[in-house]
Amino acid sequence: MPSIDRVSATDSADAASAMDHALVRRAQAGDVEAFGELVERNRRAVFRAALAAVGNPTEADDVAQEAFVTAFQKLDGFRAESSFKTWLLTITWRKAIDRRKSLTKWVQRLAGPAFSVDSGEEWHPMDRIAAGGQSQEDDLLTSDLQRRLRPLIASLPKKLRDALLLAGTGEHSYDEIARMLGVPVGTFKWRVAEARKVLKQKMLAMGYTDV
Amino acid sequence: MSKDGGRSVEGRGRTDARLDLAIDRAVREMLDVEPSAGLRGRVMGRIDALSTNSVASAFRRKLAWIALPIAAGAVIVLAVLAPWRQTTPQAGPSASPAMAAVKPAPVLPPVTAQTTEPVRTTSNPGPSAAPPGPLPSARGAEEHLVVAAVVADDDDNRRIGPLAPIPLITVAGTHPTDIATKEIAVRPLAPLAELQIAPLSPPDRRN
Repeated sequence: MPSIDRVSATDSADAASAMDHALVRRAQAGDVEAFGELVERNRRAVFRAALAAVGNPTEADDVAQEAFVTAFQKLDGFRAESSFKTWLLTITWRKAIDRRKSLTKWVQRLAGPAFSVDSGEEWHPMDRIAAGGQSQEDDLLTSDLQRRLRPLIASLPKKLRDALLLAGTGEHSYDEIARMLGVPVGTFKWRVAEARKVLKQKMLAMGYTDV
Repeated sequence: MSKDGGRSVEGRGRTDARLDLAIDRAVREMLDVEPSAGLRGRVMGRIDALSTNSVASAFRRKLAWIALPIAAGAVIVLAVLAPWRQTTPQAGPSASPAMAAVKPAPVLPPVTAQTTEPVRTTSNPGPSAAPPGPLPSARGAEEHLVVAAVVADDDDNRRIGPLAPIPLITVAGTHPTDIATKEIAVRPLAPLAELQIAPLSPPDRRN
């Protein structure tokens, strides 16, 4: 089973959600500073969701800004039927997908359609994602393996890639991600598992039988 | 299951676990970017700008709601008053303020006893209607004054010395008895001859 950490619905999450709701009520009453506090509390989750979609930190930052501003404008319409964070992430995801589409169109206009060798998918901004710093060296994992995995992840079909990356942010629960994507939790879990399966098959095909 | 088969399954499971771990790390590495520090400030700045704009647009909307009825009312008032203004007697042709200030009373020809008929304004007045000599009208006086005003404007920067004292004008006493009013006698008009109109023939009637 996937070993990606999940943020389950714990007491602390409930407390955070309650705190968010209190801040939302204040913001709905006109307290702009309360909304500022909501921005501060959720900025990482929003940014990472945007980053999972657009694959570029600068674009993700823009998407996060737009998502917060839109959330502020629509705050009166928030009825607390779900958590504020889920509602906010849904807005963020829509904005991010819109941005991704426009980015893809822009790149296609600029350079012509580009296709991944493996999946036949269109070019994706995730291809440009900045490599993070060197992680702690594990005896079993080489930096070469991770370096080779990144383009493979980027070349996954969008639905599988989105599910895998959102699950890997560590900022969202499966429930939140499923709502954000507008699919049942079971579908989301299947996509994550399928993404892993495809990646493993590709890695094995590349000769990584024992790493 | 054979010993080798068990070993291969164990190896496959180990490979799977390693690959899972590698995938997790690769994903984390791809997403291991922190949001910029100024995100909150930028968001709040945009919200402030948005609020200012919305306040300004709300003010403009309110202003429009007030101004539109006023403008409509003004248009109606003008529409009502404009025909009335046109029916009022027209003043003389507009003149420049300087000219209007010096506009004198129109000079009328002296009324004499011979002018028994009113001045006609038809294009072909009869010889008896024409007054003797040129008749200075108010319009003519005004034209002279226009020239004078223009000249005065041109010479505006000249220094004009003080005028000489005006000698006293002595006017001989009037003798009301000299002015004899004549009775105006109007002869009765000759009776009009009765008109004889022949009846129209049928074709003429049709036309």
